[in-house]
Amino acid sequence: MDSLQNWLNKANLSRFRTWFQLGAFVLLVYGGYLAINISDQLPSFACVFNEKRGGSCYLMGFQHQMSIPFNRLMGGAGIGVLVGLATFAGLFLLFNKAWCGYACPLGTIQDWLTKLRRMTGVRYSNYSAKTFNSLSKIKYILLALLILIPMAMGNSIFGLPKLNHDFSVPFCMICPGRTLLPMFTGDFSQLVIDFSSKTKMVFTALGMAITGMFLAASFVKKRFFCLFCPMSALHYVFSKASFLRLTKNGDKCTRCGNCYRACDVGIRAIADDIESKNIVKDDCMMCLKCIEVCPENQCLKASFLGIPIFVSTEEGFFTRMGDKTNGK
Amino acid sequence: MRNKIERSQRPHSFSLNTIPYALLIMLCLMLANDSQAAQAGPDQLWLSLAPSPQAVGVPCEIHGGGQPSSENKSQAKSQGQGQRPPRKPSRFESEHRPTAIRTYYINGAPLSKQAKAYLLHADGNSEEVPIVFGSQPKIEVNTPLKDDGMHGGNNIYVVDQEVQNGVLMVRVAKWLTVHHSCSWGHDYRSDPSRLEALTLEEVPLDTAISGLWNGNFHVETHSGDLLKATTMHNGVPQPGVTVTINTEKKWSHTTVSGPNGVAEIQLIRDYYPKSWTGFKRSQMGQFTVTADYLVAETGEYLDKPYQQIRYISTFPWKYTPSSQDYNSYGYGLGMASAAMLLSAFGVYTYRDRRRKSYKRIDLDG
Repeated sequence: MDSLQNWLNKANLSRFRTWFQLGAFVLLVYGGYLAINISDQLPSFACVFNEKRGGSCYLMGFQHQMSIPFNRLMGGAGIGVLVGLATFAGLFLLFNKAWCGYACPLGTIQDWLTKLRRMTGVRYSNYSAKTFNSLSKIKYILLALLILIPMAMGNSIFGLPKLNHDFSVPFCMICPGRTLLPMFTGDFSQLVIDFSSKTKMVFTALGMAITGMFLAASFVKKRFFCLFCPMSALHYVFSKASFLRLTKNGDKCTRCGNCYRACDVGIRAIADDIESKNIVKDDCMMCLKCIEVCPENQCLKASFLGIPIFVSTEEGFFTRMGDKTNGK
Repeated sequence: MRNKIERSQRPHSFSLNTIPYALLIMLCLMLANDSQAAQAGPDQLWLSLAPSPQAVGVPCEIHGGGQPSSENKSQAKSQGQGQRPPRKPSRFESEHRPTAIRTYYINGAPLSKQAKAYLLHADGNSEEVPIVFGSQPKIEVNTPLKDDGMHGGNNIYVVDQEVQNGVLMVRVAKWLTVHHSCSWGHDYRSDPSRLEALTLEEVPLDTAISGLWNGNFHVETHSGDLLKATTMHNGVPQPGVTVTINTEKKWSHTTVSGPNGVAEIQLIRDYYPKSWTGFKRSQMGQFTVTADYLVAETGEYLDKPYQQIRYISTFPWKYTPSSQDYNSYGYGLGMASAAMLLSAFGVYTYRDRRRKSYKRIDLDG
């Protein structure tokens, strides 16, 4: 068992992650061709607008359910909502935010753009601490809006008139996943602006603008969209109860800052926080790159139900660095 | 309703002088019969099913389809002030609110007691459904929520026949209901059998049109679409059937099914709102596909001889404006490109401004 653990700790997790991401992308984008449907409450962006998907993103169904009138929501329909939420939570609890780092197709696209940038030799960008802290609040605003706007469709809030059905699935209308993921199956029908109503025109125009911005920004900033993702905000609600955990032993930390430098999202707390044991923050995608680059034994650890899976070791660090400096 | 013509069996007196008058009377009666037949012809020929007791294709004063029935009008009158008005009858069923029991009214020609109704489930199973006879015949169909067997397109058929003027009139009314709620999931989107149009062998004449709904079980019929209607005679594709499509706006097109039983009809674009703000992408129109097939065959039905069999079936369906009427790839791609270029330019400019320019330091003063 120790030898297995040792072998895992020295493994090149990034290479494994690259292949795992490719497999997950193929499964979630093309799984419908093999009649695969993992779940309709996935904690990952498997866009419902892609007809050949292998599962469905939970947010689409969640937004639909939020538009149910309150009297029905408190009745039988509410049971369906709770069942959906429980399924989502159950799936999430298995892998925590590793759904973002290993399975999310939109995250994979961003990583491919990052690889393209490296090939072109363009330097990447990062946010300052102040900018990072400000921008990371946007995902909570988007989460609140994707709940409140559908609610305002099904109910008259504060006596205001109900919103019309053009406001349906508001987040999906601006999500770059809706425009980009169907393209991989030859469906370009989402690359339009819908002029059927003012509301649709605004939403679809915003969606296309965000898609353009997404492509440009993800080229220079690693995992650009993850900072704004409302799915990430929803994940954080259940993160502490998850079976997969990323923990830090602050006593072993030497504040070298490797973990922060390696973090694609740019989370400083991994390096700065030596008090907390559970180091998963709301922006974390649990790619575990921080463990890969940590040179201190047992400082950072990924465990599943208490069983260590991937632990930072000095030997592992130098093995991986040695691999890299050997021209790979 | 058929207008009964009561013919005089016995003239009051019969003499040579009255023969011309009798002939004249007979001529008038014959002409009256013909005109009655001409007026009542369409009403007598077909049957149709609808979720409300209305004739198909008659525009509604409220929603644009179907007049409110007299039943509803009397209900509205009997209700006092302060009470909610009765729900207006609708030509269409809701796509997003499936119900456990669905009621369909049989309109058109008078129904005989030998009429039968069938329900063809989405999974291919079928059952006979009782007809509730009365002034407005109807059928009630159980469609349990989240029932896997009925998750998808279910066909309801009413089959009736009678001998009229030596012709066995076989009438079929069809209704298609897509039983689905997004909360049930979309597991069948990869199952081709749930996406294709089914037919029943017991139905003498059926029109099966493929591609009416998509994998998410949402109706996917738009103006401009090319409909491929396969005319089926007892479950077998039948060529030579006259297929007519009628829309609410009175557009009509007739064609004949080809050697493989397929008739192709392109749906007309007929939605032209007065202004952009009045445009509704979900505006539903209704069309009815009528199939008419005449066969020379002799026989007897209920002791009445016939020399021909005429099969007539009706199938109403709905359509929405084509997405090409309101979607623009040009503007969409233009917006995305502009945003991408602006973002790239912004990043480039920001980096360029942060770069410190070379400053020469002159030590000699």
